[in-house]
Amino acid sequence: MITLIRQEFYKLFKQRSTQLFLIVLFAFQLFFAVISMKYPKFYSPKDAFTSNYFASAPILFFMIAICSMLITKERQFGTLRSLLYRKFSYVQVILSKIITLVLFIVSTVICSSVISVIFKFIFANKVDLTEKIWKDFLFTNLNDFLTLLFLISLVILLGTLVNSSNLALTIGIIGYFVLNVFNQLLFAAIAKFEWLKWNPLNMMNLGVQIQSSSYHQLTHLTMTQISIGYIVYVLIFLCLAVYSFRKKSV
Amino acid sequence: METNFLEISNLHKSFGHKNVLKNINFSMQKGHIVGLIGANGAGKTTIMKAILGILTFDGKITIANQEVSINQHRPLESVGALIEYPGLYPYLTGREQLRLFATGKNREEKVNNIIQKLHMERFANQKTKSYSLGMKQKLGVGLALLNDPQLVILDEPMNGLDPKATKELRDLIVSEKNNGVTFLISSHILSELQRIADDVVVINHGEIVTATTMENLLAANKKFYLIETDNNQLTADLLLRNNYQVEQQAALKIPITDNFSINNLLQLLLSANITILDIKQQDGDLEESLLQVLDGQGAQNDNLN
Repeated sequence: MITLIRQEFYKLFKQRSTQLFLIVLFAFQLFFAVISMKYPKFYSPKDAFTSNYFASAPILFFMIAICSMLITKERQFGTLRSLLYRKFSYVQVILSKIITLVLFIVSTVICSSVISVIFKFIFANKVDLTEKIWKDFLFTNLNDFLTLLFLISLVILLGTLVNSSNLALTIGIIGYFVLNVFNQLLFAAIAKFEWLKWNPLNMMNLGVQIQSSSYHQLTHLTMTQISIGYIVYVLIFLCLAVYSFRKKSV
Repeated sequence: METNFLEISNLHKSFGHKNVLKNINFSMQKGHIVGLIGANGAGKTTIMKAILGILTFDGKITIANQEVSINQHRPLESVGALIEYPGLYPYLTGREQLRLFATGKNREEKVNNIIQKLHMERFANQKTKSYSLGMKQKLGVGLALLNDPQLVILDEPMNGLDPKATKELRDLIVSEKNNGVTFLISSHILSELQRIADDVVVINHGEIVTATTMENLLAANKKFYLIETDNNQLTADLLLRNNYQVEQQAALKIPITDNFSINNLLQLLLSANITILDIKQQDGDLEESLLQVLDGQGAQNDNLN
């Protein structure tokens, strides 16, 4: 498995899009750090820092893109077959891809957070790092990470089910906007039909509910329920992805 | 004592209602080159895919006494393969592609070794998206041989190679074989297979027509002499009277049998004052032999019908 993960990382970092993404991510954070310094009334340095200088947006779009192409790219290059006729099983091959992506997401989120802290000291030195600011910063990161993890598990499943990465990509991005735009509608629906609280979109509110426990009045789920629901849905999506990958003919 | 490295027994495969492999049985001895021959759609690639555990099948396949299936890939540790076309990452160079798949110790040494063996120095550092078909094919073969496999499965390895590269690949295969590597090769270039294969498995419509040695297959189409004289009819009569076989009389085709002597034949013709205009020896030809075997199967099937 370590060999497979090493190979997946090698491929990931050799792609120009990954190299470009890392540069863009840094530039993106730098841009918002400078904006918050120059125009503090328009965009307060405190908010800029706690929102991780908007790093979550490029991370989310890039991760959804690479997850949607997880299998379709291998198929397009004709390399899927050569990955499979080795000593490794189908399950090991797909799991190594998923583990690599999760490790990459975790390390990207950590790196962007470290950069944010550095930028805070450079561009927003006057902002006092109170406990509340640290909490906001950590919870925002955690919320973004949990939302991303949930979305990519769904996108990975779609990527293994369909032969076109476009569909998986579209659903992943729509999923993100659906949550943000239609969350209020969803809460209204849940208030009317209690059983709707078990739908997967509601589980994506886990991060917000960790940040603000009063959110359970909207999700109608306790912290335990939403946590278990979140984990169960992620596991279902990933298990289905592994199953679907095993059934694919090469 | 020679041992079987790969054994296939009662292999069946269907796609829907279509039976593409029917009761395939053959084995491969360690250090042998086996040619898998058959028309397009005969089932060659399906057999190779079954050996490589990338499709489900009925029957049993063992590599070094370990069973292979879609769920059991452990025996493939000692197998290298190139099936249909080489799958390459366009954003990697040839060298990086080899580095990616090299395993075990001395990975860099393995990579350099393959580049040298396949004469890829000139283009190893170019991105594979700029490769010609021949370059891709070379790299595909290189990937199959990279991790010192014991069994190498090559599907049409000569595709896209120029004559020089074909010869280099042929020499490399023979050299690896001499080091104990076993090869299963399918190719439409029968003359190439004839030069390197020890054994052949002929497959037609998903069934094995014959699994034998190359020597035995070629024996079906023996070596012979083609002789042209000033009077072929007279010569044919003379030879037949003297217990020679004469297969055709336009240009006399005389098979080389066990007790055949060219000296005796020439003496016989010269003593009968026959002028020899042309004489040449021709070897058995795999294509001819194959057609004979397939015709034979056709006739058998006709009889069964």
